[in-house]
Amino acid sequence: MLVIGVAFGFTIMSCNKTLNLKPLDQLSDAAYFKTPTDYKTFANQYYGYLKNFTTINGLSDNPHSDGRSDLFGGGGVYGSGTNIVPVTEASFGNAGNWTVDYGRIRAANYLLDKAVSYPRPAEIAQYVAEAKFFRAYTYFDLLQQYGGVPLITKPLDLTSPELFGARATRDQVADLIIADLQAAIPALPVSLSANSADFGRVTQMAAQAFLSRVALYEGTWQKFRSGDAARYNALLDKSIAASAAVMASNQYALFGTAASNALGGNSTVLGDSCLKYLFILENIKSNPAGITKTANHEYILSTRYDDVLKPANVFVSRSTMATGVAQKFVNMFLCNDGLPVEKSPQFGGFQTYLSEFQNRDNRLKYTIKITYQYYWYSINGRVNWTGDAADRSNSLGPAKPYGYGNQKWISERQLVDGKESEDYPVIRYAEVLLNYAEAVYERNGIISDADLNKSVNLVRLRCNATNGMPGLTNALVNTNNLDMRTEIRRERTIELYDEDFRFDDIKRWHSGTTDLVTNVGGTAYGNATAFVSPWPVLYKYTGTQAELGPDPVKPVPTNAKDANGNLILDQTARLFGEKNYLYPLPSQQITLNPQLTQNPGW
Amino acid sequence: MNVFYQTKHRILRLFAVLLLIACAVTASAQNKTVTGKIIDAGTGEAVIGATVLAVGTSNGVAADLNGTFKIVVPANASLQFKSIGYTSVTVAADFDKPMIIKLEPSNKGLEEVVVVGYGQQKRATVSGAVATVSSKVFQDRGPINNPLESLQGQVPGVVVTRTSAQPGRENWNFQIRGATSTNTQDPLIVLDGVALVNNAELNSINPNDIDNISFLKDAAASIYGARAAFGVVLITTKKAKSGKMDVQYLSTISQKRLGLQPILINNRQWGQSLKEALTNDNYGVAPTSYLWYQLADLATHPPDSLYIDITKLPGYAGSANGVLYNGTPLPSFGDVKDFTFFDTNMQKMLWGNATSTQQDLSFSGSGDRGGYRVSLGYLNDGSQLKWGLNGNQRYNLRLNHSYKFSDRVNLETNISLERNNIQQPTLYSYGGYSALSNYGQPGLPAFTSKGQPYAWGTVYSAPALLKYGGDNKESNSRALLNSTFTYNFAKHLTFTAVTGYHVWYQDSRIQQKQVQFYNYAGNLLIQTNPINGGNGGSNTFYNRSNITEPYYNLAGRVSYDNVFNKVHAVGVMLGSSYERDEYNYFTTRTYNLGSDDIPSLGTGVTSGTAGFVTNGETQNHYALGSYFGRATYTYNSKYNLEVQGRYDGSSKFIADKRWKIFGSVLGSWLISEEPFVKNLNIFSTLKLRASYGTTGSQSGIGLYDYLQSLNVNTGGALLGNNLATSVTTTGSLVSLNRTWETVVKKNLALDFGILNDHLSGSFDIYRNQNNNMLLNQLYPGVLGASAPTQNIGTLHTWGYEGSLTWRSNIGKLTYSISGTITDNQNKLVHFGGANVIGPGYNATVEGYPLGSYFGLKYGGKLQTQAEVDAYNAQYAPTGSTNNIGLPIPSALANPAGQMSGLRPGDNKFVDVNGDGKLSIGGTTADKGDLVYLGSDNPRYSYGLNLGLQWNGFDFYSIFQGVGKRAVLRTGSSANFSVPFLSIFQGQTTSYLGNVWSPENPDAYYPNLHSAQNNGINNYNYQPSTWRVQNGAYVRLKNVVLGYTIPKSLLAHTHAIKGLRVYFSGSDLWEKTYIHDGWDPEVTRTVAGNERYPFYRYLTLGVNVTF
Repeated sequence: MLVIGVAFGFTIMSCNKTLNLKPLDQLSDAAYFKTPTDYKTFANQYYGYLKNFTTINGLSDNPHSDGRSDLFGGGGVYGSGTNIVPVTEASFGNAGNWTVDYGRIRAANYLLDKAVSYPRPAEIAQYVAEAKFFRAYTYFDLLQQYGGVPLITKPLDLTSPELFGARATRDQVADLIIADLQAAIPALPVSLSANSADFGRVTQMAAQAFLSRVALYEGTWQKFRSGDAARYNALLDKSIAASAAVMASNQYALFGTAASNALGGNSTVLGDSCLKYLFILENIKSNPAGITKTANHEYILSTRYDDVLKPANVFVSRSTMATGVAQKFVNMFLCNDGLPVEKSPQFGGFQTYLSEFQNRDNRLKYTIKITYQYYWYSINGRVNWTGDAADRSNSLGPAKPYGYGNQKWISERQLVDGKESEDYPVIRYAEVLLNYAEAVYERNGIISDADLNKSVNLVRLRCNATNGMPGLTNALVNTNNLDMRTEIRRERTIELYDEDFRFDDIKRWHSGTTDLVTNVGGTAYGNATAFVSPWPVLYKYTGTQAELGPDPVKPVPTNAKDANGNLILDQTARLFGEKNYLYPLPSQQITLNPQLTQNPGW
Repeated sequence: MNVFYQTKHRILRLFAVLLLIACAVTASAQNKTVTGKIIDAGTGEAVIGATVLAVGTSNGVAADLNGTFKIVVPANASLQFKSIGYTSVTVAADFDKPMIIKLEPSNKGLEEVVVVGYGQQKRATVSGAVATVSSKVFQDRGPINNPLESLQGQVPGVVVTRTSAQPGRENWNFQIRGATSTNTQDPLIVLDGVALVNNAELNSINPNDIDNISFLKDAAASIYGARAAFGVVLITTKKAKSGKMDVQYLSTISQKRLGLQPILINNRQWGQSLKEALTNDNYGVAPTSYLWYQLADLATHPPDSLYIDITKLPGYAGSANGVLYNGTPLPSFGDVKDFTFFDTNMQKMLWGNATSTQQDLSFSGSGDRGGYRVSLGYLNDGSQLKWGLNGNQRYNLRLNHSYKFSDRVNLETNISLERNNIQQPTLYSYGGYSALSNYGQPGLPAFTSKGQPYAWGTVYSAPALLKYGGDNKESNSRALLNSTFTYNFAKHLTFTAVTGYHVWYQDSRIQQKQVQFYNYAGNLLIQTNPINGGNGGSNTFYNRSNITEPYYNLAGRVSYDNVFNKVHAVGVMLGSSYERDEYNYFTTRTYNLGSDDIPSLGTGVTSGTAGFVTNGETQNHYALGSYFGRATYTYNSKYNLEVQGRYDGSSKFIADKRWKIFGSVLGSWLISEEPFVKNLNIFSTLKLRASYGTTGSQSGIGLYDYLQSLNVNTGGALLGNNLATSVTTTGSLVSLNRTWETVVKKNLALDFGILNDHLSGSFDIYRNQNNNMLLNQLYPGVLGASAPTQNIGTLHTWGYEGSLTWRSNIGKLTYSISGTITDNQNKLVHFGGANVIGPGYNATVEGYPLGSYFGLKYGGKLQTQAEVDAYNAQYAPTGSTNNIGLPIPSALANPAGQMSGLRPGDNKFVDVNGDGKLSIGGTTADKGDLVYLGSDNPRYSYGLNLGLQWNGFDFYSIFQGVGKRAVLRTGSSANFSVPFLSIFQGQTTSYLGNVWSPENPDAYYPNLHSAQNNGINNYNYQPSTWRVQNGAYVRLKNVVLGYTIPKSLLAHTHAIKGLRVYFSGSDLWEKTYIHDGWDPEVTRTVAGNERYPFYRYLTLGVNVTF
C-alpha cells in the first residue's frame, strides 16, 4: 500500500509538468523577430497583396473591376447602381475586402509593432518601409471602396477598445496613406537591377509612383466635390512632384521606345505591336522577335510570374478572350488625324465589319479583335510566328462577326491553359506619365505643350509613330474645338483599359452622371445580315474548348437599335447615383460595432 | 481465507442436520415439506435469493443467505429453481433428503459479465446504458475491412454509416446517440484497456480477433471524462481458451458484385434527348447551327463506322471549323479531331466485380500457469475499379498471452502486429472527366483502335488515366502492445497497472505519370497529361511521405471489492493515468523525373531548381493526465448505486484552465428480485436504470492554441529569381479562456425478460445537452484576425433506442428474432445567433437540427399555356425581379408571338407566406417562401435479425434500414439528377419516358433543358419539396446459411474437431425511394471516393477446428 501511495503521489506531482508541451514544428512568436532576415521574411507575405490576374475582368469581379465600368456592357449590379447593402462582404480573390484588408493591415502593424523594440533600427529600415508601403496600399484600397474607415495602426487583441471605435474621416485616412508612403520612401532601395535577388521588391520609385496615384485620386476626388481648394491643390502638387520624381529618375521608359532600348533590350523591333506584346511578355518566346522581360522597363511594380516557377495558374487568356467591350470604348479611339470619330473626316463609319477600323489609333487593332483576322492561343498557338499559312492553319481561325472581342492579355504562344507567365502590372510607367499630365492640368487648369510632350504624347505616339498621328497640343485642341480634360482622360482610358482604373476614375471624377447613367451603346453591326447572336456574350469555360464561341442558341435579340442601327444591349438604364460613389459597409460590421456609420444614402 | 471457508462449511453441516430433523418431524401431511440448498455448480457457494417455485402454481419461496430453502408442496410436485445468472432447473421434489441443487452459471443475456470502464461488472448490476456485441457479429460476413461495418443496425443507439466502398478507405462514420457537437466527434475507442489514438486504427485490426465490444452510451462513459462526450467503445480481444491446444482455421472467399449505381444513357439516347432539350431551350426551334445540336444530331444517326476522322476530311485545317461531312458542316469544336458514336458506357467500363478473400489461423490453449492465443490473419480485398493497381491487403499477427506468477501476481500481455497496404491509381480523380467525376458524354471510347489512350479534345479517357497514370501505394504498419499487471494484495484488494504502447508507421508512395492521348485512329497525338516539366498539381511527380506516431498510455488503479453481511456489496476503485501521443510526418516530392519508369526522389532532372523538390513536415504532440475513481454499492443484488468521476488535464489548454472534473451517478433497481414481482412469475428480469453525468470533449481545439505561433509559407511571390518564403502569423488569435465542451447526459431505461427469458428486451430514453459548445465568435473585421472559438453554443440531442429479442425452439429447431431501433433528434439551441439560411443544405442554423434542408414548396407542373400566363402574371410581371430564378418573360422575335420564360411542363412553386410574390428569404426570421425540407440526419435506424438452427444447419439474416432521411443532392452529383445540367456529362436513364408532355402530364420530370439554358434548369431543379428525395430504405444486410458437420462424423478423422461450411450474402436486396439511381446510403454529395459503388457480397466460408 505504501508503495502505491507513493507512486500515486508522485504521479500527481509530476502530471501538471508533463502536460506542458510546446509546438515542435512551428515558429513561436517569442523566438522570432531577432534578425533582419526575420523581418524580411515576414515582409515577404505583403507581396501576395499585390493585384494579380485572378481578378481581371473575365476571370472574376472585384471592387475596382473594369467590368463594372462603362467599358463593358451593363456593369453588373455595382456598375448599374442596383447593388444592395451586403450582410458580409463578397470575396474577390486576391482583391481585398473589409476583413481581408484589415487582416493585411494587421500583418503590417504586426511588423511595425515588433520593430519598435528592435535594437538596431537601420538594419530593418527597408522592411519597416515595406510594411508602411503595404499598409498605405491597403488603406488606399479601403479608401477607394468605403471612404473614411477606422484607422488601426497597431495589432489589436480581443479587448482593444479600437475594435468598437468609429470611422476616421476621409482626410485622416488619406493623410495616413501619404504619411506612410513619405516615411517609407527614403528607406527603400533607390533601384533594383533585374538580376538582383531582391528584384520585384518595392523601390523608392514604386512608392513615389503609388504616391502620385493616391494624391491624384484624392485631389481630384476633393476637387470634383467642391472640397477645400487648399487641400486638393496641395494633394495635386504632391502628385505632380511624385510623378516628376519618377520621370526624373531615368530608371523607367515606355516599352517599345528608344528610351527603353537605351535601358537595355530591343523592344522597338516590335514596332507598333509593342504594346500588345508588352502585356503578354514572357521569358519564353511570346512574340515574333523573341523579346523577353529584360527589355521591359515600363513595369515599376508588378506581380511577377515565371513559366516554370510561377505560372499564372488561372486561365488568363481563355477568360479574357471571353470578354468583349462596349462600342462606346471602341469609339473613344482617335482617328489618325488625332481627332475623335465624331469629328474626324478620316473615320470610315459602320458600313462594313471592317470600315470603322480604318485610319484609327494603332492601339485599337491590338486591343480589339477585328473580324476575319487570325488569332492564336493555347493549342491553337503560333507555330512559326510569321503569320503565314502554316501559322494561320493552327490559329483559332478568323474572328467571327460577333462583336468587339477583347485581345488584351491573350497569349499567342502554344501553351497549356493557365501556364501563362506574363507579369501583371501593378504600377507601370505609362500611368505615371498620365498621372502627371492630369495632375498638372487639374492643378493649373492648363497644361503646356512641353508638359504634354513629356507625358501624354509619349504614351499616345509610341504605337502611332508611323501613321502620322499628331501629338496632343493646345493648338490641336483649340483648332478643333476639343476639350483638353476630355483628351487627357481619353488617353488614360484607352491606355489603361482592362487594368481596373476606369471605374475608380469615374468615381473620383464624379462623372457617373455622364459616364455611367446613359444606356451603353450597342455593340453589334447594323449592317450585319448574318447576325445570329447578341453581343457581348459571356460564355463560361466548363470543360472543353468547344465551349468557347458565341452562343447561337439564345433567341435572336429584340433589342432596340441606335441611330447607326446598332443594338442597344444595355437596355436597363443604369441607376448609378450619388450613393454609389462609395460602396456600402457590410451590415454585419455595423451590427458588430454600432459605432460604425453606414455610408450616406445606403 | 481458509478459516472463513471452514467456518462456513461447519455452519452448513449444522444446518443440514437441523433440516433433517425438521423433515423427519413434519413428513406426514399430504402436502410435504421440501428442504435443500441451492449452490453454484462451479464454485459450490450458496446462491442467495434463488427462487424455488412449484411448477404450475404460484407457490414459491426464495433461498436465504445460506442458499437454503424450505417449501411445502404436493407430493407429486416438480420444483423450478431459478436465479439471475444461472440456467434454471426443474426437478421432481425429493422429500426424502435435503435437495442439493447445483445451478449452472448461464452465459447468455442479462447474466453475462460486461466490460465497463476500468473493470467488469455483472450484467445484472450494471446501471448504465451499456450495450455489448459478441464476436458473432463478425462471423460469416466475408472479408471485413473494418469492424465497424458489421455493426450497422446491430447496436441500439449506434448508427454506422458508410461513405465509400474503396478498399481500405471506406471511411466508416459512427455516432453513438447522434450528434453531440458541431465540432468533429469521434467516440473514444479503448482496446484491451488502452485508448486508440483515433478511429482509423481500426482499419488494420483483424475483426476475427475481437471477442466482444461494449458501448458506453450514457453517463457510464464519464469514467473516461474529457473524451467521453461522444460515447466510449471498449473492445476486448479473444484470449486463451482453457484446456489443450485448439487450432482454428477460418477461410472465406467473396465475390463483390456491383450494387446500386445510376444507369447511364447511351449515345443514341443522349443525342435524342439533347436535341429535345436544345430545341426546348430555343423555344421549339431547332438550333441547327449550334455545334452541340449538330453533334447530338449526328449521334442519332451516326455513320455505320460509328467514327468520323475529321483530319481526313477535305477542308481540314487544324480544327473542325468549316469542315463538311456528307455536305453538312461538322460541329466546329476547335480542339476535337474526331467524332465517335460507340455504344460505350463509362460506368460499365470503369466498374466491375471483384474478389476478396480472408484467411485466419489461430492457436490457443492454456495450462495451470497461463494461456496463449496466437492468431494470423490475411485479407486480400479486391477493388471494383477495373483499371490500374487497386485494392487492400491486410496482414495480422496477434499474440495474447497471460501468465500467473503466483496466486497473487498475474501478467497479461497482448501484442498485435498489423499491416495494411492500400493501392489506388493516382489519377482516379484527375481532371474533369475522371473515374470519380461525372465523365464525358456517352459514345467516347476508352482506347483507340490501336489500343492507345483516347482523348476527345480535353476529355481524357478515364480508364487510360487509371491504367497508365501511376500508382498511389500506402502501407500502414501498426504495433499495439499492452500489458496488464495484476497484484492481489489481499483477498479484496487488487492493484492493476496497464502499460500501453501503440505505434503507427505509414509509408506512402505516389507517382503521377505522363499519359499520351491519341485520336481514335491512333495516328495523331491529341493531348499529353499530366505534363512533364512543371511543378503543379497537373505535372508529373513522385511523392513520398512517412508518418510515425507513437502513443503511450500508463495507468494504475487500486480496487477494493467486498460483500458485507452477504448483502452489502461494495466496490471502490481509484486510479490515475498518463497518456502521450507524438505525431511525426514528413513528405517530399520531386517533379520532372528523368524517367517515369524509375520513380525515385533522386532522379528529378530539375531538382536543383527551386520548387522542383518540395518538402513538408509536421510534428506535434499532446498529453492527457487523469485521475479517476468509482464507487459501487449493491444491496442484495437488487439496488445498485454507482458514482464515478474523473479529473482530466490536457496539454491543449493553458495551465490554469487545464483541469476539469467530470462525473456521474448511476442507479438501478432489479425489480424482478422483489418478492412481489417474483411471485407474479412473469418476469425473469425486470430492471429500471437511470443515470446522470457529465462528459467532455476538446474537439475543435488545436494542440497549442494558447501559444501564438507563426507559419512558414513557401511558394509565395516571385522575388528575385525565386519564390519567396514568408513567415506569417497564424490567422487566429490565441485563446486563454477556453475550456472543454461539457455534455450532460441523462438516461432512463427499462430492461426486461419474460416467459423464462424467451422474450427479452430493453428500452432507453435519453437526453444530451452540450451546454458550452465551442463556436466561432465574430468580432469586428478591424481585428484583422479570426477570434478563437469560445464556449458559447448549446446543442440538445434527445432520442430513444430499444431492442427486443425472442428466443425459443420448436422441437429441434431453435430460433431467435431480434430487432433494434434507434432514433435521435437534435436542435441547435444557441449558435451565436446564426440565423442565415439558404435554399439547400444548411449545416448549422440556430433553432433547427444540424444538417437542415430548406427549399420552396412544389405546386405541381404548369399544364397549359393559360396556367403559364397566369403564373407569370402573378409572379413574373414585366419589370419585376425575383430571387428564385424565375425568368421574366419577354417577347421573342423568333418564333414570333412566343414569349420567353416558362412553358407548360415547367415546375410551379407555392407562395407559402402569401405575400403575392415568390422569394427566398435569408434568415429564419424571414424565410420568404422557403420551407423546412427535413434533415440529412437519419432517423429511425433499425435492424432486424432472424436466426434459425436445426440439426446442424443454421440460418441467419439481418435486415437493416432507416425510417426517415431527407436527401438533396449537392455538388457534382446533382448533375446526375438534372438532365443536361452539364451538356455533355453522363446522365442517367431515370428521366427517359418520365418527362412531362401534354400526353404525360403526371411525369416526374419537367421539360428537358440543357446547360445552354441552365436558368430554367436551375429554376425547375432548385431545392424544393419536389426535389428532395426520401432517404428511407430497408436492406437485407446479411444472410447466412451454414452447416456444421456432426461431431460423430468427424470423430474418425482423429484430427478435425469441428467443421462448418457456410454461404452468406451481404446487401443482396433493398427497397429504396431514391430515384436518381444512387444507393440510399451514400452521402448527399457522392463526391470523390464516395463514387466507389457499394457492392453486394457473395461469400463462401469454411471454419475448421483441429
